[in-house]
Amino acid sequence: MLKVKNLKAGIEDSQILKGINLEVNAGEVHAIMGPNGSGKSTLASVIAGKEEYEVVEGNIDFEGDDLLELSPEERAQKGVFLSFQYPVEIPGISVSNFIKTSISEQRKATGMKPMTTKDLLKMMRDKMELLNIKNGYLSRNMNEGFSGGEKKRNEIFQMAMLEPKLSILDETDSGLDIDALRIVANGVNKLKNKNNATIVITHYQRLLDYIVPDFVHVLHNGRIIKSGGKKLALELEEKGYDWITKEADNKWDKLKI
Amino acid sequence: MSISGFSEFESNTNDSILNLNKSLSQNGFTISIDKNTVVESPIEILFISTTETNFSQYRNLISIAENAEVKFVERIQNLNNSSSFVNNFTRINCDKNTKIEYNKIQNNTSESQLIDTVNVYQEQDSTCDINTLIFGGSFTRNNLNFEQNGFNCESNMNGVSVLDNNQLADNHTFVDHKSANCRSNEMYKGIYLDNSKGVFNGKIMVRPDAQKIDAFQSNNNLLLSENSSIDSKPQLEIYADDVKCSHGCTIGQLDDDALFYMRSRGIGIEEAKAVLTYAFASEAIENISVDQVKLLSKKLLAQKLNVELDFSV
Ligand SMILES: Nc1ncnc2c1ncn2[C@@H]1O[C@H](COP(=O)(O)OP(=O)(O)OP(=O)(O)O)[C@@H](O)[C@H]1O
Ligand SMILES: [Mg+2]
Repeated sequence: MLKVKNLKAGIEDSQILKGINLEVNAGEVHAIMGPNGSGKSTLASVIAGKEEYEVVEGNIDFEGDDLLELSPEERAQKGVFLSFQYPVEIPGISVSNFIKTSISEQRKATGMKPMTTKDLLKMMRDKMELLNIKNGYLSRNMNEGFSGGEKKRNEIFQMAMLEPKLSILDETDSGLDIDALRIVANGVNKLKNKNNATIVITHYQRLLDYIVPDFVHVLHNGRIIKSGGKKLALELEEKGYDWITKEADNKWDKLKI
Repeated sequence: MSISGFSEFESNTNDSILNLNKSLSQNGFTISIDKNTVVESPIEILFISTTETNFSQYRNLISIAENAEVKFVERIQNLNNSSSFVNNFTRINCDKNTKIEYNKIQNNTSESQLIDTVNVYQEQDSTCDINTLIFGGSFTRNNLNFEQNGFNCESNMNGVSVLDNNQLADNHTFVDHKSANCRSNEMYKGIYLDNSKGVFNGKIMVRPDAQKIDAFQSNNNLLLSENSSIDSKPQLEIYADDVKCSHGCTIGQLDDDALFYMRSRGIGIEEAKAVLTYAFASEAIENISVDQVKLLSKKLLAQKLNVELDFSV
């Protein structure tokens, strides 16, 4: 589904991603972990199409399309979804209007006929139930005054409504209380099937207890320095990052890169 | 309630435009709302001109007696494409404990010029809202003057200007806080495309005896093209000491993070810009209580931005 090859990207003269290789297939869950500032969110943003990052080398293939040639909206319309680490507040637009606009734009772009208001409302209600979201929420302004946890839940609500092929969840667990974490994780699991894939970016094993990854990658200083199965996350939880980051730093030092 | 045509009344002024209005005007309306009357549906006022090169002075008087409530929607429309100049003056007398909302939809043809002045005289416990929505016209100047003559008056102004091409719109407001325990709120939003230009001048005067005044003023602007511009000028003259007064002015572009957020949800860039622009203005629009006016302004905004905005859910 997603093939990231030797991706190098950054801003102006500082390089943040220094050659990322990552392959994600349908039906898989990948976890990306790594110290603060290692480039996790940057990678997510580049996949989603944020223009402030300049890609200097490498490519991203998504189901045969060269993602880097597409605008952010075209990527979304093809099924890429990013749950933001810091969701943006949009005063003046209600959650329901926002989602309605988003769904109708996506359907228009993919040649589907528009959803009736009735169907849309029903779908919203179903997904709200799935995520245990209270009534009254739809008429609030998008993320405005939402608590940290509410914002994250709102991201997953949008994901549930849009049914993307590839979901990238950037620290969706941060800000969620224990109950909310379980509810949101269960929601994500229910949305999972053999045709879609999920990348979870997280610092904590806690989330991975619920959303069990097939692969775990450690990002450090713009590179994936270690990949493994779900056990790797447990090992990191226990030992921290030092043992692999030191090794990696030595290696890159020796290569003088 | 009584509605009739033009009547003569005094306007003490040394403003030459108002003097012109006084000496030439033969058209306008006179509306009186009786004591204790709540007028349920809004009164719509339409000024229509059909003549070639229209040069009109309208002079209007609204008197609202004690405990009455009323809402208005006003439009000034030129029905042909020839040039037009309208000098409109309205005096509103708000007696004790009255409530009035006056909505101005200024969407005239591109050859039209308008100078519009409203003088509001408020007595104790009265609330007067004036909402000014500017979409059309080549030149528009609005003067809103409020005089608060009793305790516990409230004067609210909301303005939305959405201008393109070479349009120019100028909002001058003046609140004269002459009495204690009163409030004024001003929220003006401007959206400027192409070569359009906006002016906002908000004067607040708090007289020596007018203690415990809350006066709030904001003027936020979006410049959506390189060649558009805005001059924003607050003018505060405060002679009392127990006063809360704030003013703020912002001039900016659309927020890139918000734009990316929307696009990442599959919303095309033009639509995303329009939605954000609408969102920017909506705070002021939401203060309007007449649903049809709200809807119309959403529609006109979408039209100006060349997108379909569907806000029915
Ligand atoms: N727009 C930007 N301007 C300047 N520096 C940036 C920008 N975006 C990212 N960076 C820098 O790039 C590095 C990687 O940032 P990124 O947000 O991708 O880290 P992260 O792995 O997601 O960290 P965290 O775990 O704290 O979320 C950081 O040093 C950050 O300061
Ligand atoms: Mg991050």
